[in-house]
Amino acid sequence: MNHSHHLSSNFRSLPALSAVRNIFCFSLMLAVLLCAWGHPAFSLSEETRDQLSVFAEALGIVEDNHVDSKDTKKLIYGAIKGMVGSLDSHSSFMAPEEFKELQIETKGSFSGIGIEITLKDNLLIVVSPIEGTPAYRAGLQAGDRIIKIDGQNTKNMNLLDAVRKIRGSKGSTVTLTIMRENLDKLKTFSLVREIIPIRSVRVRYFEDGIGYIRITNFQDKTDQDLKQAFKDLQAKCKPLRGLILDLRNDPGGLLDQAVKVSDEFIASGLIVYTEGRNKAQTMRFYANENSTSLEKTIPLVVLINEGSASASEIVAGAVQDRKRGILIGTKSFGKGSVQTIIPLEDGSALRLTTAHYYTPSGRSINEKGIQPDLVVEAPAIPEGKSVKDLRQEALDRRMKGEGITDKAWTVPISSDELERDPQLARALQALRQSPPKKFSEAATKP
Amino acid sequence: MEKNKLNRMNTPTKPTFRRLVGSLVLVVALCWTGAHSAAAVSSQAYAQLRLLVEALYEIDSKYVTEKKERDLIYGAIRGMVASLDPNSSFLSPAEYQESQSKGNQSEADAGMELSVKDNLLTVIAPMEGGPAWRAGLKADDHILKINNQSTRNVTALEAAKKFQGPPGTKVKVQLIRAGLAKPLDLDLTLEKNTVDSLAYYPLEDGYYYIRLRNPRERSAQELQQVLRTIQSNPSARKGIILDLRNTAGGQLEEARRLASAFVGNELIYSVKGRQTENKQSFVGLKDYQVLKEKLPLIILVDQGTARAAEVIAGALQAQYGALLMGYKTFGDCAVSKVFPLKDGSALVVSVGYCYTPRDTLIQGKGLEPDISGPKKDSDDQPVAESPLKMEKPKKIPDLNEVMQDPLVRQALAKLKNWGRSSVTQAPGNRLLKKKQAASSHSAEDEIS
Repeated sequence: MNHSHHLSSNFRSLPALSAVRNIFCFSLMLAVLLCAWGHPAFSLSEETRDQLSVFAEALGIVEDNHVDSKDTKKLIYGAIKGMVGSLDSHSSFMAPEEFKELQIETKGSFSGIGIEITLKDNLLIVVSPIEGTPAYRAGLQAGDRIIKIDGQNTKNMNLLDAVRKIRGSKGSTVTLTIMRENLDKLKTFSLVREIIPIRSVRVRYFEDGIGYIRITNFQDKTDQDLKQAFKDLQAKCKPLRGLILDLRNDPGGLLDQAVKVSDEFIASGLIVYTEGRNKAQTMRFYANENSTSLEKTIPLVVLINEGSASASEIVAGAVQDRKRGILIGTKSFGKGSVQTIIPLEDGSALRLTTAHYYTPSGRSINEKGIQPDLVVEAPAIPEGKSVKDLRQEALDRRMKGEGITDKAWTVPISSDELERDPQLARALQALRQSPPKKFSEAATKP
Repeated sequence: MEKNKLNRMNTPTKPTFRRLVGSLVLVVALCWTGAHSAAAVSSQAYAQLRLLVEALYEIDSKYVTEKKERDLIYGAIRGMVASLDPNSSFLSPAEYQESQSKGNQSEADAGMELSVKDNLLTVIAPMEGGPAWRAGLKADDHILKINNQSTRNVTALEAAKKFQGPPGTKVKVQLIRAGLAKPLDLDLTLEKNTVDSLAYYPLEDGYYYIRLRNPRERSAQELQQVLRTIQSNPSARKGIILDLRNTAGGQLEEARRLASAFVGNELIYSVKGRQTENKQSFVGLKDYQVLKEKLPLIILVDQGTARAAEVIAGALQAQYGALLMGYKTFGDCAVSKVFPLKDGSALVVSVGYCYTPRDTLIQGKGLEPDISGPKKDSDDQPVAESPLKMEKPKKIPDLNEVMQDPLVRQALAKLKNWGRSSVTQAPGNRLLKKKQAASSHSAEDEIS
């Protein structure tokens, strides 16, 4: 239990508070365990008992009569899913495997060999090996077809299964059998797994000293990666005149990371506050006023779209409310709630909405989303393209971390890339033509 | 719409129910009294219930707003039942009462059958000529919203209820469809079911086309009538095409009578479940038999062929030597029972699955055609921004349009070659594809 408690809150708050919550959580666990062992110290209300007996009755009927013999565990998982699903669309139940996957995602690293893979026409394809990883060093290439994993044929294997088979404990070996275009026979690679960092921050620049930073999600190391990205930019662009922060299609992540990322840009005052039924869920987060770094003052444009949610909306909301920069793009997703991850005793977990959050001016984002200061639509779907193509393209972008960041960061963004992205082009134009003070005016004149 | 009727085979089974209450309440009692009694429930079930109690406690104490425990438990039962199969469902006390008082009659409906596929509420098929069909719904559409309410965690039975009410009731649906980039909003109006149960066209000399749209009580008599007409033509009886595409409605009893018109008292289907009381064989009715001879028979099937129609297809394939032509069927044929719970709510639980006379399971698998239809490539079609604008008003295809249908043409070609080539594609298939391209303005295939 203790091990998973560092994750007891997906949107983690201040460390001190989170420790308090962990203790709180632990005592609850204890209460439930006591109950489970039949200890009279913990008693359910009569109403609860009645309700539970209705459930037990239903369970018995299903177990005895349903045409298929069902595993009780699966039935209970289905029940918890249904119970949590009846709350709101962001609360959910995670079976142990799904919970493990989430922990990997939020930790910002995993143990594997460092390839991004995709499924194309039912074939498992290497999208790209990540620089510096075992896969990269061994010479795996983009486009390689994975025929076997540890001798097992990949035919009919879905993407998640394949990912699971390729990942494994650090130091263990995985064997991939590869087919490559100009090889006349299969090639076998034996790779020793390592800890692979998942990058959530990507950086590029324009030749006239404007930086571009894309955050793909908010995980444990996002703030550190952001600081590093900013250092890199300052070394490359002298002077660094402005910054585009791309939060498009960023589904969010950890609350404390949203606060830390906002804090990079906001000089002082309130960033966000949360309110819940439980006192422990009511919190206010302020910017660190002692920092005088360039990030706090540099001209800033934030890109958002309907795929920017939760933590992304906290950052965008703070930037907008505190008039720190301008928001360009389309209306954001509109998820104004905070979820806490609550591990259950068998390794599964609940993702439970425990609070709502509000921007510094007291706005709730829920269902309304954040309206950009300057609406710029993404290009329409090209004519004659099938949904299948679009889906594939979207998947490809996802595997590459989206946006225009699939090239090495040392390569400046070309006019060609800009042409395909009118939102980015408008952001660049805003930074080029306006001194920072005039941003709000620029916003009113499209 | 008629899932409830179709699947409910028997009345509630009281004895089982009472025995269960007795043994299961004990498990819950264990949790608060600390008594370690020899409960009838496995220790595994006990351990698992503990998990549910834990989850309930966490929600009770931490969820952002306060929730009624009853709603949480109903949510849990719904979730458990939804994890079983698409036909099982939960009825709240009010819903159960309503279903009992109204019996099986609904005033008006949308004329479509629903299921849950990949966790999405899915249209099995809209009945040709019915309100849903005229509004533009199609087989395999996924319904996202009904009257602006999300269909997340909604069972097929619950959703079906939203499409029942007084005639004239308007219902808004939002759906996603393969080949469309954006969700589509449609309005439909509930109506009394007045769709003709079947249509019959003599094709060329000696060949006949029968379309079953709406299997219901009168259908078997109507089919007998048609078959008698065919039989009374002494010179030319060369073959029949029975079109069961997009036919998902009707009760199993109706399937039995309809199939009897061809095969008399042969085995039509059987039902098997885990409890022996749920095992049953259904044999046809001698009195209903019309055809005494075996005519070449091709049954057209597709993704929208389900339940009663699947039973008919399976029975005639096995007992009459019919060939199935087209595409794999939907794969939905289960029998369910209603179990009342002690607080007035009830469970609808699938207790048996249907098997064809060849002992093929229909549920979840569907029947494979003996002869495949032309390849469908809807997934590769270009994206249409507003597809409905291109559509002409829907009307039921007449003989002329039936004759343009590539699958009907393929079936006719096969009938003319009956017995000559075995189970391969009919000759002239390439020609048919050309024809299909040329006739892309037929009423059925407008959206593309």
